[in-house]
Amino acid sequence: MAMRRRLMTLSATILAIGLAATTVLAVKPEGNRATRENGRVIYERSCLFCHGAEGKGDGPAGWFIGRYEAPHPRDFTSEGFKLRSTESGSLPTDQDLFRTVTRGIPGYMPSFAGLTETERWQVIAYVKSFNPAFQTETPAPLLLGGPAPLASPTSIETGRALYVRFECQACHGIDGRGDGPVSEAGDLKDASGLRIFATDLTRPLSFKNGSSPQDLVRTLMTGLDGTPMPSYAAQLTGKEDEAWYLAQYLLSLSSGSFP
Amino acid sequence: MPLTSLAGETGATLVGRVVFRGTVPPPEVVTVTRDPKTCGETRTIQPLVVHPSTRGIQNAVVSIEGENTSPNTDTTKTTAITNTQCAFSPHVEAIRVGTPLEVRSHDPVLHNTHIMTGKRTFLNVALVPGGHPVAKVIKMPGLYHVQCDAHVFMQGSVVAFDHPYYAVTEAQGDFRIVGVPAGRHQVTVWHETLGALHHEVTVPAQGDVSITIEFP
Repeated sequence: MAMRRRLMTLSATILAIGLAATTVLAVKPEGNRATRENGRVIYERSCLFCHGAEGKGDGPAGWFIGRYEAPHPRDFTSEGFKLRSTESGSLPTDQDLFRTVTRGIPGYMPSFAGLTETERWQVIAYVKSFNPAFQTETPAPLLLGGPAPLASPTSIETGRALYVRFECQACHGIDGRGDGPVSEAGDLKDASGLRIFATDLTRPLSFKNGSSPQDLVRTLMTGLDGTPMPSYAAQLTGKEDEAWYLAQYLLSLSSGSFP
Repeated sequence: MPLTSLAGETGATLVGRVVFRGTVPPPEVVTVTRDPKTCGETRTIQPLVVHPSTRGIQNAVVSIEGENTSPNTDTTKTTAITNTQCAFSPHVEAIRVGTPLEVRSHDPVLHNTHIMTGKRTFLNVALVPGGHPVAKVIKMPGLYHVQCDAHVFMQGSVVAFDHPYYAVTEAQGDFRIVGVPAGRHQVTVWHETLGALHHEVTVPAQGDVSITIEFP
């Protein structure tokens, strides 16, 4: 009986962690000095190794990650941010930073869902203090494409036509394997001038900005600042369904294959 | 001295020419690997364009150092960069802070116009054939680098000022800045490959002042 109770408690804990990983439950603390100070303590324990003591992306782990390899840990002081819900060139919202801290970045940054939500908000308040632009700019999320229509062979075919019309194949390749001519030519560079490669769209678990349809629509709308991936917001505004169809097509590239 | 009057109001007009008497390095010829029907088989890249008879430099940005005189209230003006035949037109643009910068494409191929200031993205947008132009207000003065990641030979510059005292030199190297207040000013010239140099000038209350600025 005691064993069964322990199992149930464990299941409840796992469920709670799972929920905490994707939803915001805790009240966000006020962005005051005490919050930032608490955030600093967490930052120096959890983030400093990669992002550096002053948030310049120059932590000691940079040597292991590779000095001349992209991506580098983010320089919070002056660079833009890749993973946002805001228009190209804007700062991320607090929710965007919360999502990145919680999920991590596949293949690069670990998930910090092990921190409590309050701790995550505290560390976000501290990270924002590295860049004075957070004091003067008010990032606003883009409206991301209304409700998702159901995927169907027709919608996926429409998405495929958009993939070709938007020339996604230039970088990502006609089959989406990240082997388009611009990527293969070595022409893709990040904000530091380091070579980067187009994402292999047949491997959704490696998508840095997430692989749900919502994540893909967000990436299409916002682009990934600091990389060649541009925003398609101006081309998709008023055509929300097209953004969803394209996302459905991208996900269809990996269906039936092991991610 | 601080600048106090607005361009177009009272003040003198600074006219001049930026010249280069040195040897112009040969242009770089780049093989086009993508969209040759629109972009051509090769591109000749020559950022230092010197007029053969005047020796004037095109696309140098001339400005007068000064304090911000007043916020830009002209919200009707838009400055545009057009992607045409796989080049940015104009190649170099000067803009006042507070003005929308519009990017658009006339080409039947995908371009992305990717504008950075330092390591921070100002704008990176896809311009698909027949698609919509995109505009964004420039809020910070400084140098903005413009590139197309799909066609890496496409490069350009935007220089943003928080005052109205600037001009981009024309084909013969000439420039003209109006409404300059009287006094001693420092003129700055910037060129994408030659860099920046400074020149002192004394401006009277009215009339034209003519200067020639020579890059070493």
